[in-house]
Amino acid sequence: MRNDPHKDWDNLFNQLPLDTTLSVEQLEKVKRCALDAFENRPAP
Amino acid sequence: MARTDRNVFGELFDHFYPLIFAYCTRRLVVRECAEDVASEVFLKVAHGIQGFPGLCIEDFRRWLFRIATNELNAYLRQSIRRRELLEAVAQMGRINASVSGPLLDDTSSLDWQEVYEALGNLTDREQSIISLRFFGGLKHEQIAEVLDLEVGTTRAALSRALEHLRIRLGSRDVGRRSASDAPQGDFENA
Repeated sequence: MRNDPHKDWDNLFNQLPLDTTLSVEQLEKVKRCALDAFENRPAP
Repeated sequence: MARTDRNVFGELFDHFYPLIFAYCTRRLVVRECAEDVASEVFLKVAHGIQGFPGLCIEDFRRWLFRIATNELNAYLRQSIRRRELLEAVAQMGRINASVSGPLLDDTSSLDWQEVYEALGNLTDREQSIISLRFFGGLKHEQIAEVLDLEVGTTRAALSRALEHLRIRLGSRDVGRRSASDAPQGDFENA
């Protein structure tokens, strides 16, 4: 039996071939939208 | 301060957006979908910041990941989105048997489509716990706070969710799950 099953799952999911990096341009674009939404948030 | 100060909110965005985007990418696989959901999360956060119930950055993290997890679950309840995910994940290929073997106690290799398909057949609660742990990188204590559970309950629930996932992956060659593989009652209210 496995002594540390979560370690095995960590090893599995660490193999995910996905790129999670973001360009500065992407970040700035989303940030502008978020800040606009912040400025227009409902009053308390 | 984040409730009223644009600069503080901007700093929170800079710190947390990449984490939420990575969380969404690992859960949804399709980059464009992850961008949409991560952006939607921050629009909801900005819109609802006046009602943020916490006091510190850990409270904010918990609140943020709760919103993101709810958004991801809602997104994946749409069958067209699940199909999109499985089509994308089919392109990701196989997993080295040296990595998958210890999980299944055999030497066969898995592909990512099998993993995501099995994950998608778990309850929302199980998917949330596994996603927060392995896609969001949260610790047990943090997952417990996001899902409003005791830490001990979270540990047990994660172990059971992983066991359900392992059973589904182990039986993938003999068709769909049998009744004995069904999640138990404590996950039914996810």
